[in-house]
Amino acid sequence: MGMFDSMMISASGLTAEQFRVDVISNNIANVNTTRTPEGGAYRRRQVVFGAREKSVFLEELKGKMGDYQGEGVKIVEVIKDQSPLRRIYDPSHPDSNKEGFVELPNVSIVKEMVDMISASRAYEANVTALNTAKGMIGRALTIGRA
Amino acid sequence: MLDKLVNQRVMQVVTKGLDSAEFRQKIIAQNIANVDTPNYKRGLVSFEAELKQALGHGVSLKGAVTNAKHIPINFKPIEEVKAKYHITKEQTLRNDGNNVDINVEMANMAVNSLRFNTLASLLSRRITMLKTAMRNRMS
Repeated sequence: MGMFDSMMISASGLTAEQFRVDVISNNIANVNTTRTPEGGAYRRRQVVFGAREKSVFLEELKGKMGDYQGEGVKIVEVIKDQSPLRRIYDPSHPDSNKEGFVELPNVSIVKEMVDMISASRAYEANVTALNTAKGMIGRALTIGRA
Repeated sequence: MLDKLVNQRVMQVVTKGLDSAEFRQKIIAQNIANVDTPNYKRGLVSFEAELKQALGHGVSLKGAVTNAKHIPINFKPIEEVKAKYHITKEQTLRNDGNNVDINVEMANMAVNSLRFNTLASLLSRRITMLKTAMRNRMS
């Protein structure tokens, strides 16, 4: 089991939520980007989380498949949101087409803000979990001490 | 003789409680880290119910075990009590299929931490009692 497994699991949660905030910040920064290397307007990026499993091979090797748990969370992939881009009528925009329409990113600032608050709270919860585990280990070390 | 002194039943039970609390902390951390993972179902650790059953509390009829060949009725030897890990199947109203409730996890974590500290205190005091008895005086 290992004393420090709990802390490493919380650390993986911290990393994942921080990465999510990075992706959200990128979306917000690019809310009006009409030119991208792959062509067209910027598409909103979205993070997909997955539960991280212990290596099955190692566990079989050690003979313990009974209590199969998990080892935290990992980023599975960053996908591009396929919902339609915003179209507005603005012939004066340098990237507008023949009819005068320009395609803008499908980023909603409100939604990004809500996601950011959620990620921030999850981050705090992981910090509390890590501190609790640290406190428990510290307390255990004082057993039997005069 | 030393074995009976140091390996008292109370200390065995308390040590098992400490182990299970540490295991539970790990599973709670796992749940919290996966609060945003689609289709993740929270895990939980059960120990207190098994321990209560093993100690024979709340059961009226308990068989006495006075010989190594006796089969225990309605209670188990302490060594066989283990914390068990379950994956819940609770349904959830969330769109991403995740059934972790962050409030429940935080509350469980606080309770578990207090339980751990209480058991650690208990163990500490028992050891202090032994030390006092061995020293044969009160200071």
